[in-house]
Amino acid sequence: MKKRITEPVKKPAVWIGFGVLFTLVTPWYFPAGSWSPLFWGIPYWALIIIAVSLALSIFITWVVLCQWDTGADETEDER
Amino acid sequence: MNMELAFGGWSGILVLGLYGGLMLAVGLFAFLRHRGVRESLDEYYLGGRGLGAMVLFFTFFATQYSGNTVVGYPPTAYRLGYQYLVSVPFFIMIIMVYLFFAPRLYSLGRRFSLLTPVDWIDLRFRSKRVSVLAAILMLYGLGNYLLEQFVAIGQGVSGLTGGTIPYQVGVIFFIVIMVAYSWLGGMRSVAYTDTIQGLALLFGVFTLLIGSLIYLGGLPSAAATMAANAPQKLGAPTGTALTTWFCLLVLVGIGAAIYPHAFQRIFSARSERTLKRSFIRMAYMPFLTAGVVFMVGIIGISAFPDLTTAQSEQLVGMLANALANQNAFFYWAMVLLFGGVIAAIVSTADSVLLTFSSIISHDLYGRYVAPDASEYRKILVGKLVGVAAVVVLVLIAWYPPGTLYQIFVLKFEVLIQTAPALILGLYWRRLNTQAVFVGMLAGTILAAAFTFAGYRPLGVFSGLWGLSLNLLLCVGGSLLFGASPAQRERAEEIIAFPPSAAAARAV
Repeated sequence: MKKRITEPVKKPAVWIGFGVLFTLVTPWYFPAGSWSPLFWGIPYWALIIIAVSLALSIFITWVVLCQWDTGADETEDER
Repeated sequence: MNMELAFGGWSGILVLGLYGGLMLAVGLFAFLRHRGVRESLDEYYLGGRGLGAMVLFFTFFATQYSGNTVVGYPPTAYRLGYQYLVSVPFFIMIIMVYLFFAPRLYSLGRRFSLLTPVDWIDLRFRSKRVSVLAAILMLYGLGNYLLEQFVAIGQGVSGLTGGTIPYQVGVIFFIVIMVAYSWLGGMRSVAYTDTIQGLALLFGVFTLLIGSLIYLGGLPSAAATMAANAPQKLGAPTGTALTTWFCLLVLVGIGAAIYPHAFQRIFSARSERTLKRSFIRMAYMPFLTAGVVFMVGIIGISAFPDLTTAQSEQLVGMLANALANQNAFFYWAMVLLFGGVIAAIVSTADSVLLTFSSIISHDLYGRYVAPDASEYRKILVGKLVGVAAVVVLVLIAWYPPGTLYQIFVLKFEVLIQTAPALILGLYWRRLNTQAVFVGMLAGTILAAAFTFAGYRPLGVFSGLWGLSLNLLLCVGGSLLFGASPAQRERAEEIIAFPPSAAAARAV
């Protein structure tokens, strides 16, 4: 079966996903200067930013694994 | 990173000597295994396009994380508190930006045997003006980047050895070692040493974090100190701090992804699979490096409260000294940490120097001066010009000019101006060559002028103002004038994706 050729840049889901995560990884949506409650000495908003950052890494993993296949390796094998 | 470590001295010299010997051995190994390395541009500058996932990963790692990540980031976290948490996502952004151009670039790199970023620009636009301007901007940005690394090497070595090795001797020693192993094995030497250097750095930062947590108090005590003395360090950023956060995400994300030495590494991958695996690993490294050094900086807030800005620059040295006094394990761990810091600086510098030489060899000398020269000769010219540049930069590092010092500070601001040509050129057939040139030039002039004047309207960084003007001219000019039918046809042949589509259309 011929493999599907796909690039992340052409996938609306990739743009939407990165757009949403980029928006959330910038802390504009917290009350200015707020930090309470603290969890293990870390302000609540910082934990949310860390969680969104992790979500960004996981989303990158999904994009690399599922949305990127230019067939360059197959072309290489054929040579 | 100017610091004196009381625990350094001869043990520091021992570690640095062993480290230098190991790097030379790696260079010799790469040379003996690949005898023909200096006869072929592909072999010398791209490791024969055969780097595996692990080595490729560490060589990407070395382009992003330098000694400055370990020594410079904790003081910034100390001063800004949680507002500097942005250092974690901005490293992730770099991988995100890669995903918008690396897949197609890798494929084109294979198809057209691309060697350098300028090589791609030349293939796409076939314009001497655009190629030469891009080459000059890249050489300029890379030169300043190298200068920064040399200053850091000297200060790191004299700090680690407690001044036993003077600043100048430290710089010369490591530059000679670096040039020697790079000359011996080219990209393979650089990539193999990057792997060792990356491991040393990771070991160092983790030991520093664990030691700081055990002996200097954890995050709760740091939070208590901040809540009592400087609650703004705990609070969610607002106003200018929020704009800075946003600017850093964009500027570092785009800027570091298109660093010429990072861009070039895409061509070195053995396969698409290898490149993908390296990127996935890189996506999680910010937590293990930037995240760890950020925590170290935060712990410093309660361990060494009330430091002035100048004193806080010494924070990592102070923490390391405090840990080294605890027991023999931490003493040696801290010696290794500083060995790792210097290793990381050298590993960044060697990558930069190799790319610098490749642009000279292939894009300037090989394309415009002596196109018929043998590859051996092109490599030799690249190496010699690289060394000449190193000598000039070392002299600048030792005798910094009293005025116009900012000329040597511009890096990201200049390099990022090549982004529209590099990235838009991959996808947009209508892209107008003149508009690309004018945008790149105008963006650079604006970014440089704002930097020199210290002007930052709306709190937005000068590099981003330059990039905005650049994009406006580049996109606006292309929409107004488009590309000639011949240019569009040519672009179609090059960037049609998948490549078979172009062939089908041609029929």
